[in-house]
Order: sequence, then structure tokens, then C-alpha cells
Amino acid sequence: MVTINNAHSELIHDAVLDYYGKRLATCSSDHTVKIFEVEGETHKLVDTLQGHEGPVWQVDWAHPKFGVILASCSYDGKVLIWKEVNGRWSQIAAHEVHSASVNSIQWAPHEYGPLLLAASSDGKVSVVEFKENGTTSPIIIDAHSIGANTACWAPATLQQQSNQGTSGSASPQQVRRFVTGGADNLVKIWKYNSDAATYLLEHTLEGHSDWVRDVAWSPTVLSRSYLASVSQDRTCIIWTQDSKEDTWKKTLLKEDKFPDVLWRASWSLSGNILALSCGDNTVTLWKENLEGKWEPAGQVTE
Amino acid sequence: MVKLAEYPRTATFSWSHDRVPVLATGPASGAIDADFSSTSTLELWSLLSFDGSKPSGSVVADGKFNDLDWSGDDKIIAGALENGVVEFFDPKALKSVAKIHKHQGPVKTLKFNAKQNNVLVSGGTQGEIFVWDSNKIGSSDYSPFSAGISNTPIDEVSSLSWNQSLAHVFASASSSGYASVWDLKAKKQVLHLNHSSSTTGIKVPLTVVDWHPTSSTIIATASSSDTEPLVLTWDLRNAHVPLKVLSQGHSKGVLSLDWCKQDENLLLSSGRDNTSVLWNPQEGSILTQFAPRGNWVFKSKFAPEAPDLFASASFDSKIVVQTLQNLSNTLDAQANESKQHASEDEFWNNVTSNSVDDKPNTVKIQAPKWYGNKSPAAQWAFGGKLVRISDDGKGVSVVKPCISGLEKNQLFDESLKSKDFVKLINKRLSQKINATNEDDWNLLENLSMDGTALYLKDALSLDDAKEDIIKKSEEDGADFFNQLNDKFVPEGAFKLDFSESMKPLTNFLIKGDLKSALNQALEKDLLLEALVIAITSNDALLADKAKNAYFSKHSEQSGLARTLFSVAQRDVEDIVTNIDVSQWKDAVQFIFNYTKEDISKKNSLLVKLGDRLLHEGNRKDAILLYLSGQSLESIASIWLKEFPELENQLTSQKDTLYEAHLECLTEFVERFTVLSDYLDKGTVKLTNQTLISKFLEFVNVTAANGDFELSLRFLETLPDDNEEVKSEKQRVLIASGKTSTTRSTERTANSTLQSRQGRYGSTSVPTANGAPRLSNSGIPPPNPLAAPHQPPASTAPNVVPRKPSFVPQTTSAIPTPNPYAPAAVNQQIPLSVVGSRPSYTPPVNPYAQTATSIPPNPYAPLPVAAPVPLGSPVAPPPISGASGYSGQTPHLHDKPIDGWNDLPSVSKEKPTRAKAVNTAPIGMSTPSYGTPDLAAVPLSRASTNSTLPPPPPNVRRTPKLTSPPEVASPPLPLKKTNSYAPTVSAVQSSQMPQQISNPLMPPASPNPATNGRSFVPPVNPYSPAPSAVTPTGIVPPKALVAAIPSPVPAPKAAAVPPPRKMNRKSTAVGDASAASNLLSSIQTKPTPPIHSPAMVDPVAVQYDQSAVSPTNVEIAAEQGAGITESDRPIVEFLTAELQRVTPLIPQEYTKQLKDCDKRIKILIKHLEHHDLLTQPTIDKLHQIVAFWKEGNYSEAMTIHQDLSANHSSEAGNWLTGIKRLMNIAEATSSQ
Repeated sequence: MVTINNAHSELIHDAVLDYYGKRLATCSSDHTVKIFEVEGETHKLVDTLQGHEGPVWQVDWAHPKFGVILASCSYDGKVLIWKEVNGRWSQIAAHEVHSASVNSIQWAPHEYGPLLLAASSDGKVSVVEFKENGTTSPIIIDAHSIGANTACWAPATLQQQSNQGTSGSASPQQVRRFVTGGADNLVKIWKYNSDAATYLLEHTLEGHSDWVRDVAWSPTVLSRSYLASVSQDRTCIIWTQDSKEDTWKKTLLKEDKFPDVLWRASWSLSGNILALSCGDNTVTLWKENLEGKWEPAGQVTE
Repeated sequence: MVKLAEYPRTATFSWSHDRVPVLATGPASGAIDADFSSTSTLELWSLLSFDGSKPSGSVVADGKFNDLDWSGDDKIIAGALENGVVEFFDPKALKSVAKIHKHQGPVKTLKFNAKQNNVLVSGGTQGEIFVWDSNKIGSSDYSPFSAGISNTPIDEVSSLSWNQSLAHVFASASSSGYASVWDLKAKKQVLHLNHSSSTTGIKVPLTVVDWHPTSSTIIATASSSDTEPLVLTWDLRNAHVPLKVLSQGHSKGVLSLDWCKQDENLLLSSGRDNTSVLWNPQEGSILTQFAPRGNWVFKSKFAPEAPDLFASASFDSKIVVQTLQNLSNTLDAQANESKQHASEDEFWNNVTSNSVDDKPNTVKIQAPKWYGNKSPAAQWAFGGKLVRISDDGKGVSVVKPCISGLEKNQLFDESLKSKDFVKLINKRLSQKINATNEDDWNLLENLSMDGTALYLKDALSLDDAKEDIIKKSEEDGADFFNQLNDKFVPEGAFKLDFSESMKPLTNFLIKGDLKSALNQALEKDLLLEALVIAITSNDALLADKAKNAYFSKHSEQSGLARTLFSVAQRDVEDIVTNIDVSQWKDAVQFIFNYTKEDISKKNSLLVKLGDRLLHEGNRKDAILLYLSGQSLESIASIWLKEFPELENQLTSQKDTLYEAHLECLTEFVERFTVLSDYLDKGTVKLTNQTLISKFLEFVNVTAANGDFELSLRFLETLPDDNEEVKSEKQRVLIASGKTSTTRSTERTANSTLQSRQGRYGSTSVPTANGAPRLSNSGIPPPNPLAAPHQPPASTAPNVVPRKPSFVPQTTSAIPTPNPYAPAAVNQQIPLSVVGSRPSYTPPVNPYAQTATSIPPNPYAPLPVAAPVPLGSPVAPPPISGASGYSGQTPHLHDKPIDGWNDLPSVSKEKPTRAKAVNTAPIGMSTPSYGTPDLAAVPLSRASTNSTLPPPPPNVRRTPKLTSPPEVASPPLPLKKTNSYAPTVSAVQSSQMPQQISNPLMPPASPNPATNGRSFVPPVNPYSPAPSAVTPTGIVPPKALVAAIPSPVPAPKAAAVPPPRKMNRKSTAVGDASAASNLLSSIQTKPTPPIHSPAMVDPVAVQYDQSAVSPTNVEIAAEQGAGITESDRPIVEFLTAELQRVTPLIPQEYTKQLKDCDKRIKILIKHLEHHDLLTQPTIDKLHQIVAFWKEGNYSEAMTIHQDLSANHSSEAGNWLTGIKRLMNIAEATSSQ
């Protein structure tokens, strides 16, 4: 549909469309973030955001109900928050709680409010809430001792609190979870505990033999949760958990290895198609078949 | 996380080559342990270990260590011991594998080959360099070989490094200050490097070497000189001058170098200034200066496979594992700040120790190579888009991949667009999830075929009841009037009753004190007398009192009294609430008869009754009641409750969870949409949040997959007053580029009505009526009944606006874009109930053909005229007369109706529903459908009297008009017949009844002309004949009688209404009975009284029709010919089979049979037109027929299932017909 050539002078690490699919944010080793308007076949550079002192790894758009807001994270250990007001972009906040590269950021499901999840090479994962009055209150957890590469929220779900089952008296409780992947080859599931006022480790998923490069939680709320983790070991693992059970089941997306490192996993918004980005510059699409196996659903060429 | 670990050892170390590396440490020679132990132990430390103070494993070594190295495959650790031994350890087994004493003095250093894991080089004092093969160390006589001759003086070997690409090349450095390069193939030193200070000219000792990670000719060296603590890089191709001089990093001699194996832009050094420094050796710049330690840092190394980490060993009993990056952050600042605030004194006291903290000085931020995405980083975005980075890494593209999982739901989209849900229904029927689900879709199918009003009427058997009631009242009426003359005339002598008990009463009567008389009568329990007194008194109070007395006495035991109570109250609440559920149908009658004026009351009662049925588990009938009560919400709540079950069902059918969910969601949404479309369009306000959230989820998924059209179209059907809906709508609008943000806001702000109009306006087919007019009149009028109730139009203007209200029936079934259909249908409901004649039109509509030939005319205005009078509550008395002529078979259902299309397999007792083959009326209306020129129709209708008779609207067809014989002949050809559009027939059926059967219409005297016409149809109802009727219309009616040879004694039938009994018995299939039905039904058809202008219209209609239909007949014939020779057997067989089973089937199932017939005809039509069906499907049909002929029903059924599973797009209504016919055939064949 649209191709933007030479958007940056150095490597682009991430490119994300906004809620409406109309604006594109890119970030690069050239330390900048760029905003493009995309309309049909055309595109227009809106702004170049400068502020990071290192390569910018990822960007993420906040839900529009919070305004036109973008977060970016960099090797410089910072997460910067940018906002557009009347067509002008400016940095409105810097989130500097990490002492090493911030490798991944993601806004929480909008139901939780403006909550940002960040994973850093310092081994920590932080959840920062941007409050009304402009202050923040970070929750910081030690997630992966050798470095956290990626973190991803679970879709917003409600959970019946009561154990009695049929009694509808207990109001459903919001369950906040996220998944992280690290340089320790592990995938970890974290769940918010209101008593501890922090996120506690719920599950540790072992299966990769190399760095976990990306984790993606399927956005569809079904009776089964789907997670995809991709790794330097050139494999992708689909983790599933049936709502009634506690354990996660591991399924290798395919038996043989991919030709190169898998860097990214992305579920389609409807949650059924998984796009995997491989170091050999290919993007492959996958979906589950009736036997519960994963089969190719197409390849994406430029 | 600066520091990952700190081990309290003065020890040399080596990393394993793991992602989560293990550190092996061995006490450094000359260092004294805290416990002064003389034993030396190799220890392994896991970074993940919880307890950093204890090693995860240890092996006692032969002596203290000068160096340690871990082979590339991690299988072996070699230690350079101060006692001259090279000791080999197995890290897995945690044991010493070999100790070989070869060096004369202490072994100073050793290194495993980068390429060959078993090759090791060791260096000692006096220039001893040995090359080892660790595969051979096991044999007792093993001895390493010497590296060769050195041509520079070597004293003590201080450093060794293997070339990273050439396995036979290594470099050494020694205390003599030379760095040398060795070639094992040549077995000698091939090159040496030295450097003199540019400032002092003094030779700089090169005591540390390390190769470039990838380039075979580049090497780094370092000087341990405190005066010239340099790090130099060299390209051996120009070995005289260093490539780069890295200075200013260390203030004292450098003791260790590590050129990062994973990023040539990183080099780590450490030395006697107690610090470690990270360099970019290519640029010669310092990246990071790490905080100084308490003593010399004699070794610092990247973890080879986790290069974010490095370990550094210093002589202050510390091995520290830390990350390359350790940036200052706000937390540090806060910590410092809090320190400051906590105690100023303390701060000043500790200022020196605290000042730098542990934070290194990051001079320049440079990301290591292993960071950062190096892939297309494809990510999904809203609307099925995928963003990816281009191959060169500097561009971005947005693509929209086509994936099987992202296919658009075109069928639904089209259906929404066209408001024709038949295809959708067929698809769903062929993919039903379970029995309940099939019930629902069957219901919808029936609604689509018959129209909501008609279907409900039939399903609730309102017509039957009506019939009886009318009949009754008619008789009563006659009697009543007769008896009016029979006044009681008192005769003879009598005496006042002054008996003991009667005396008071008599006295009061004498006095004329009726009130007291009444009281007295009640006291004496003389209820009858009391009632007479009350009536006579003309006093409402007295009447109430008497009634009360009656009810309180009898209503407990007497159902009749209870009923009377409700009647007296004109309130059937009690009945609805308390009647035995099994008599719910009677309750429905009550509701309809007693709440005519109050629609909302009626609806709420119907819903209430439905609730009771549902409670009793009668889901199906409950839904019927909700339908007639127009309570979408009630139905929705049932369906919502069933949602999880359906989803489970789908999941268990081996769909993936996702697909099951999506399918279930889609099915639900479709089902609901179809229902609401048939039930009540435009006026429905959804308030059920669960329902809305389901819809939103659907929209979300649809839009996310990029099908903006469908999601928008669907969003339009949702209420705008819901915030979520609004924002979702906006998202889709913006995303699809349909509107800017502002515009979308405006848009959403629009009232539902407006947006609807706008949208529909554009989609509706341009007709004579014109879309705008349609919307005006068709859109929910404030009083839904107003329009239909208007007396029949006597003038054209009146007629026109009303049309829309009837459109619905047409539209509901016919593929037409008229969005208003449902609303109108809805309005019809009450009408049909009130005025409904028993004339239910049989599902099999022989005239469909006509309609088919002219595809959907949604606006068919003609029918309007008839229905209108129907509904009119003001209708003139002739009612009774009308009913008298009814050819319809009234019937009452005492038991709840089973699905009318249930198969006969179970012989449930059901009163025969002899649906008269009420063809004639259809014929009447046919013209409207057949009329291609819509504009003409209304005109002719309006002006009938004056302008009229036909210039048949369709000139093209006129020629055929003259051939009545052909028309009349049709009886034979089932084959020919066919050309039915199912939809059309449904339409007609829905219209017809109202039209014809209007009991309110003054049929006055049977009009000979009409009757005459009616004779024609007697032919096979399935044949196109019926349409033949119409031609007569052209001819003056009178002539007709003579002109058409009628197999039935037409005149007689015309004159005398066929006895009812006859009708009841008719199976509707037999020609004769069909004919009689026809006749009778035609008779009921209102013959426009000449004096009533309104009534004229129908006549006009007939004329029009007649003009059209003949052509249709002809077309049918041609179509019949359209069947290819190869397909003919299918048609013939099915037709024959249909005829075969007809006489065999129990009467109560004639309905099913008719349904079959209708469906089979659809198939035949497809075969004729060569549309829809592909050859594979036809082949399968042949197979079915073949098996069928053999009586192998199970095989035939298998193929049938295959068809429905794999060819569902082609498997329309006809497939169900085949299945049913097959079932019937099977059942009857066994008899």
C-alpha cells in the first residue's frame, strides 16, 4: 500500500501504526523517532522527534482516549513520552528508572489507564503509571537476571473472584498480567497482586535455548490464552493455557529451525494470525489449523 | 543492575560459552585466601544461583592458578598452575581429568583454539610455548609439542591469543615486551610487533595480545608499562605502525585485554590503575570507564555468549560480574537525594566513598551489535494492515496481506446491503451448529419465505381461531337478529311470590328499590335474579356488585367464570399470568382479541406469556411469542445465554478455539441481524449491554481484519447513543478514510434515522416510488398502524404513500434493497391478526414463477390495495358474509405446533392443516411482481376505472396474451413449472392472504366474473397454470368462463361456496381438491363492489396481472426446455418421486410436502437457468438420485451431507428440500 524509502539515515528498529492505522511512528539507530501521516498510497513526514541519546528500539502509541501520545525507548536507558497538541509534537515526560538499554515498551490495555510496561537490559521490568497530576509511580521488578529483552501485556480480562461459582455476588476482578522474555532464555508470566502492590511471578516457561527476543500475547480473549515467544535460537514457541488450568502448554510452531534469528512476533488484532519477522528479512504468517498445529498462512513481501 | 554478582576471591577465571554463563574460578597464585588455606580449588559459579556466596560446584586442583580457560565446546577447563602443571577438568563431572607436568616453571597462561575445541596453547617461563591436544591427554604417554622457534627473545610468556579465523595462527606476548605471531604450519614465529613511545622514544613493552574477532590480520596489544599504559591495534599487513593508539584510558599499566567476539567495536581492558575501560577500538575512543576497584584489576573478560556481562578480577579478593551498561537514573538520584536529606553529617563524612557510587562513567553511548531489531519487525495494525521495515533497514512499508483467515464475510455484507438474507439463511442452515441452532435458522427461513406476519399468524394458528370465532359470531349474529323478533311475551296468570324467603325481595321489587332488591337477591344466593336486576337497573355499580358476587362464588372452580372475569375486565392479564401453560395458544387468542388497541400492552403480554413458556422449557414457542411481542431483547437474551454452549459445540467440532469463537460470534450476529430485520427495523433500540458488546467485538474483529465496509454497515445498525459504539464507529470511519475526525463526529451525532435514510436512500433501487418517498412513508411512522388502517385508497395519491408499508412483505423475502421492509412487516402483524382470514397461502406457490421471471420487485405496489382494507378496524359488517365464502379450511390447534416443517418420521398427532392451495389470490397479486414497469402499476391501479384495461405494462409480453389454451394446458409439467424463486413465492404468500382473505372486505355478492376466472387454476397447483388465470383478466370476465375449458365444474363452484368439509379434507395436492380450494379461495377474494371506489383497485390489479402472466407461462415453458438432457433425469426423478409420495403421506404432513415441492422447484429452476449450480454439484445430485433409486438412502444422505458441507454456497433452500423429500421417500417406501 505505502512504502516510505529512506525514512531514516540509519537502521530502523521499529515501525508502528496508530490506533486508526493512519499515523506511522518509526524509530532508528539515528536516535530519532519520526511520525508520518499515511493516507492511501501517500505519506507525509509530520515530525522528527529528537531527544534520545542512543538508538531508539521501539515506539508505541497510547490509546487515543489519552490523547495523541507516543512512547519511545532507547539504548540510552530512557523512555520518552511524546505528545501532539495542535499538530505540534513535544516531549512531555522522560521515564528514567533503568540503568541499561530499554529494549521494549508497551502501553497497557487502555482499561487500566495510561500504564507503560518497559523491559530493560538491566534485568528489570518497570510498570509506570502516568497520573493525572503528571507524576509517575513506577513499579520495578527484577525479571530476568541477565537482561529483559521484551515484555507484553495480556489482554484485559475479568476474573470471577468468588470460588462458589454460581453466586454472582462477587464482582469480577480485573486481572493484570504480562509476559516477559529475557537473555536468560526464559519466558515469565507476571500477575498483579494488589496486596503486594506489585507484579508477582506466576509462571516461568522454559523452552528456548537462547535469548528470547520477543513475546506476544494474543489479544483475543478466548477460553485459552495464546502466547508466542521467538528467540535467537531460531524457533518460535506457542504457549497455551486453558482458562481452567494453571499450566502452560508448549508447542513448537514448527519443528525445524528458521533460517535466522526470529526477532519479532506480532498477533493480528483479531488474534489469529501470527506474523514472525526473521533476521533474513522475511516475514512469515502463521495460523493454527484444526489439528492445533500451526501452518503457514502466507508470506509478506515488500 | 550494575553488579550481577560478586565473588570474594582473588582468583583467575574463565567464562563458559553459555547464554547463561557459568564462571569458573581458580585461586590466583601468590594470593592468600582469607582462611590461609593452601589447598587450591576450581570453583564453578552459576549466575542464576540464589546464593552467590557458594559455588555451584568445585574440584580440588593440583595447585594455584595463573590462568584458566574453558574450551569452546565447554567440555573441558584447562588450568595453568603455578606448579608447572596444566590440569584439565571436566566441568560436568566436576573432576580433574588430567594433570600434565610439561613446563619447566610455572605455567603462566593458556588458551583454547577458537576453531578447534581440542587445541590448546600454553605458555610458561623461559619462553616455553606448548600446543596441546585435549583429546589425547588421557593417554599416559601424551606430551604436547612445542610451538616452534622464536626469533625474538622470549622470557616469560604473559599472554597468548589464537587468531579467530586461522586455526593455526596464534600470537604471544611476553615480559620481554615483544608481541609475536606464530604459524603452527611453519612451526615458528612469523612476525613480531614492537612499539616505541612517540614522545619518549622508549620502547613500550607489549605484554598483552588479543586478536580481532573477525579480521585475521588485525590484533590488539597492550602495554603493562605504567608510564605508557597504551592499547594499540595493528594491521599485520603494515606491522610497523599501529592502526590505532588507545590512550587516556588507563593511568597505569594494562594487564588484560578482551576484544569482544560479538562486536568488533567493543574492547575491554583493565590494569594496574584498578579500573576497567570499554573502548571502541575501531574509532580509538573510550566508551565507558568503570569505577575503580580496591586493587589491580588483572583480568576482565566479556561473557562470550552473554556479552552484556563482563567479569573482572582484582587483587582485593573480588571477582565482579557486571553489565556493560550502568547508567544513572532517577532512582539513583532519588537515592542520593534521600541520603542527602537523611543526614547531612553522614553525607559529608561519606562523601569520598559515596561520591562516584558504583556508576561507571559513560563517555559515549554506543549500542552493541547484538542489540536492536535486525529484521523486518513486522507488526499488525488496525484494518488488517501489516507494517514492516524494508530490506535495507531504512524504509518502511505498509502492506495488507491476503490471508485465508482474513477473508471478508462478503455474504453478510451483501445481505446487509441488499437486505436479502436468503442466501445467508441457506448458508447457515447448511452449517447449523446444533438442533436448536437449526430451529432458529429454520424460523428465520420461514420468516423469509412467508413474511413475519404471515408466519406468525400461521404458527400461532391465529387464523384458525379467528375463523371459528368469526364463524361463531356470524351464526350468533343471525340468531340474534332472528331472535330480536322473538320477544318474550308473558302469558297467563301468576301470583307474586310472598313466600317466607322471597317476600323481602318481592317487596323491594314492588317498591322499585332495585338496589335493595339486588342485595336481597345476593343474600339469598339468587345469582341469576341478582344479575337480571342489575342489568335492568342500568346502574353500573349494581352491575359490578352482581358480577363480583358471581366471580367470587364461581371463579375458584369454574374456568369459564375465570375467563368471564377477564372478559368482563377487558383485561387478559389474569389469563396470561395464570392460564395453564399448555393452553398458551388460547391465551394468545385472548391477547390478540382483547388488546387490539393497545399494542404495547399486547406486546408486553405476549412477552410475558413467552417468559412463562420459556420457563417451562418451551423455547421454540417462547421465541415465537417474543417475536410477535416484538421483543428482540427477549430473544437476544435467550440467544446470549446459549452462546457459550454453541461455542463449545463448535470447539468440539475440532475447530480451533479462535475459529470457533469467531464463527459463533459471526453466526450470532448474523442471526440477530436477520431476525431484527424481519421483525422490526429502525425502531429497535438496543439496550442490552452484553448484546452490544458482542456486536462490538464482532465489529472489532471485522474491522481489525480490514473489512471496513462490513463493519461500518453493521455499525450503522447499532444505536448511536452508546459511547463504545460511537468510538468504534469513529475508529472505523477514520481508519477506512471515509471521514476525518471532525466529520465522523458530526456523522455520529446524526440521529439514527437520518443516517439510515441517507444510507438506504442511496442503496435502494430507483423505482417509480422513488427512494425518498419510501423512506418518508416507510420509516417508522409515529403510529405504525395509521397507514395500513387507512381505508382503501380511492385515489392515486393515497395509494402511493401507502405502498411502502406493504413493501415489507415483498422485501422480506425477495432480494431487494428495501430497508424498510421489516418495519412495515411489523406493522402488518396486528393487521393480519385482526383481519386475517384463514386463507393461509400454502408454501407452495404456483405463481412464483411469474415473479421469478421478473426479479425482485420490491415495491410491488399492487398488493397494497387489498391489505389495507384488511386491517381496517372500521371495517364494515360484511365480515360475516366474507367468512361465509371462505374456501379456507379453518383449523384449531389444541396442541402446540411442532415445527411445521418437522419431518413426518415421528407420527405426532397434529390436526391436519389443510392449507388450501390458495392459488387464486396469488394469481391476483402476481401481476405486481410480474410488472417490470413499476411506475405503470400504481398508475393503472389508481386510475383503473377510467383509463384502464391493460395496455399490459409489459408490451413485450403481450403477444402471449392471446393464447389461453397454452395457459390452460399446463397441468402436466412439473418439469416445466419450476421456475420458482423461493423468495418470491414467499412474498406472494405473505401478501396474498391479506389481500384476498380480508374478511372485512365486502365481498358482497360473488362476482361471476371473478369466479369465472377462478376456474382456470384448477390445474395442477404446481404447474404454471395458475398464471394462466390471469390472461383471462384481459378478456372481459364473462367471456372467460366460456373461453376457458375448466376441468372443474366452475360455475357451480362459483355460485356455491364449496362445503367446508371438503376443504378440510383436501390434501392440497390433488388436482381436484386444489381446484376446489382455488375456487373457494378465489371466492373469498373480495370482489370490488362497484359502489366503492376503493374496491376498484383490485380489479385493476387483476387486469394488469392478466396482461403479464401469460408471458410468464411462456417463459416457464422455455425455461423448462432449458434443462439439459443430462440434467433431465434429476428433474424427472425428483418430480416423479414427489408425485409418488404425495398420496402416501399422512395428511398432517402435507405442509412438509409442499415445502419440499417448493424447494425442489427451486432446484429445477437453477437447473433450467444453469445458474448457481456447478457441475460437481450436479454430478453429486446425479449420484444422490442413483442411490435413491436403488433405495440406498444412507448413501444418498452421505452425498447430501457432502453437498451441504462442501458446496454450501450452492446449496440453497433446495438442498433441504431434497433431504426432506428423501426422508419422506424413505419413510413411505418402507410402508
